[in-house]
Amino acid sequence: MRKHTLLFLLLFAGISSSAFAQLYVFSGVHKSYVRNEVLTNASPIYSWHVGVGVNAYRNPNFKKMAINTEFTLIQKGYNQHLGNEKFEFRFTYLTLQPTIEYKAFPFLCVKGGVNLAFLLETNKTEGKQTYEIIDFGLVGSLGFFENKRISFYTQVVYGVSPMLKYYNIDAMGNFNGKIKDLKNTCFMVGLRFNINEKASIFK
Amino acid sequence: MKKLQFLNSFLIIGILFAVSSCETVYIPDPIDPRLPKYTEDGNAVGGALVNDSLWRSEYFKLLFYKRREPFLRYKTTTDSLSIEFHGTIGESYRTISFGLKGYGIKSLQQMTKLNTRIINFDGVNNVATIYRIVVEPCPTTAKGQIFFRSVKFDPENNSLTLSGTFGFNYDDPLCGKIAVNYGRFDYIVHNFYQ
Repeated sequence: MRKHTLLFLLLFAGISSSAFAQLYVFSGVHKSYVRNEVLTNASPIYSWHVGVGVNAYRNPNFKKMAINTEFTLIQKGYNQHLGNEKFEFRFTYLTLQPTIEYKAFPFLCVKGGVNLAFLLETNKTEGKQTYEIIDFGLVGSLGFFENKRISFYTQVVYGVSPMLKYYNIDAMGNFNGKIKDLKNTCFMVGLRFNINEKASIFK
Repeated sequence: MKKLQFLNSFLIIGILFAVSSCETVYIPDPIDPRLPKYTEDGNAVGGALVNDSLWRSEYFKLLFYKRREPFLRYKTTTDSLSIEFHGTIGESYRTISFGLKGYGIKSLQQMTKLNTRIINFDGVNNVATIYRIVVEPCPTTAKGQIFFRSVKFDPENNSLTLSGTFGFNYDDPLCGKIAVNYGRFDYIVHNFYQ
C-alpha cells in the first residue's frame, strides 16, 4: 500500500513539475441531492468540497486538449422531513475524477469525464453497511480563466450508480424484491488556484 | 469485609458486562429513518408506524436490569403461542401482541418452525392487537400478517435470533381505526415461558 502511494505521489509530482502540466488546488461549495423514487420529502443540502488536480498536455497536435485528473474530498447528502422531524443524511467521499479538457475559447475550458467516489464515512450507524461504498457518476465542467493564477469553475456530477440497495418492504411487511435507488447529483462552484508559476498549459 | 467488597465489585462488573453485551443497535431505515432498518442480526430493535405515529420497542429498565427482548409464552390451555413486543408511542406505553394457535411451539428451539413463514391473521386462531396495559382492551380481529423471515436458534448460547415484519389494521368503536404498518423486529431472545 505504501509503495503504491509513493509511486502515485512521484508520478503526480513528476507530471505536475513537467513543462506540460499544471498542478492546482481548488475548493468550493455545492448543492447536493439524490434523484430517487422512494424517499418522502427529501430536500437538497449545501456543503463544501476541497481537492487537488493536475492537467497535462499530452499531444502537440491537439493543443487545445488536455487530460485532467482530480482528487476531491466532498460531502454529499440530503435532508428528509417526516412528521415534525428533520433527518440529515451526510456522506463523505473521496473522489477520483479523470476528464478530458477542451479549450473552447481563450477564457473558457470545457471538461467531460467520469467521477468515481469512495465512501469514507456517513453520519448514520453502520452507514457503510447500508450504502454502497463506490459511487459512479458522469461529470461535466466549465473552467473560466484557467490561464490565470486564480480561476473559477462550475461543475455537475450526475450519479449513475445507485447508492442504496435495500429491501422493498410494503406496509404489511411483504418483501417485494430489492430497491436499487438514490443517485447522487451535485452542482458545484468554486475557485481554483494554479500552483505552478507558469499559468495554464493552454497559454 | 474486604472479601465482600471484592464480591460486590465483581457482581457490578458482571452485571454491567451483561447489560452492555446486549445493547440495542439502532440503524435507521434508509427509506423512512423514523423506523429501524430491517436487519437479521439480533439488534434488539423493533418499530412500526401506528396511524403514522412511530411505535418503537422500549423495554423495562430497573437499575441495571434492562429487558431487551420480546415476551414469548406457550399457553397449554389454548395450545397457543403468545408474542409480545413492548414499546412506546411518544411517552405512552403500547404493547403489540400476537397470538398464534396450533403451531405446537413449546420451546425456544421449536420457534424455528416459524422460519420463513407468513402467518395471516384470521381473528380466531391467529390474532394481533395493540393495546395499553389495562386501559384499552382493543379487539383481536385485526386483518394483516406477521412474517418470520429469519428465525435462527443458537444451541451454544441457547438463544434465538428472531427477525421479521408485520402489519395489521382494524376498525373498532372503542379503539377507533388502527393501522399498524411497516412493522419490523430483530431480537436475540433468551427466554421462553410456559
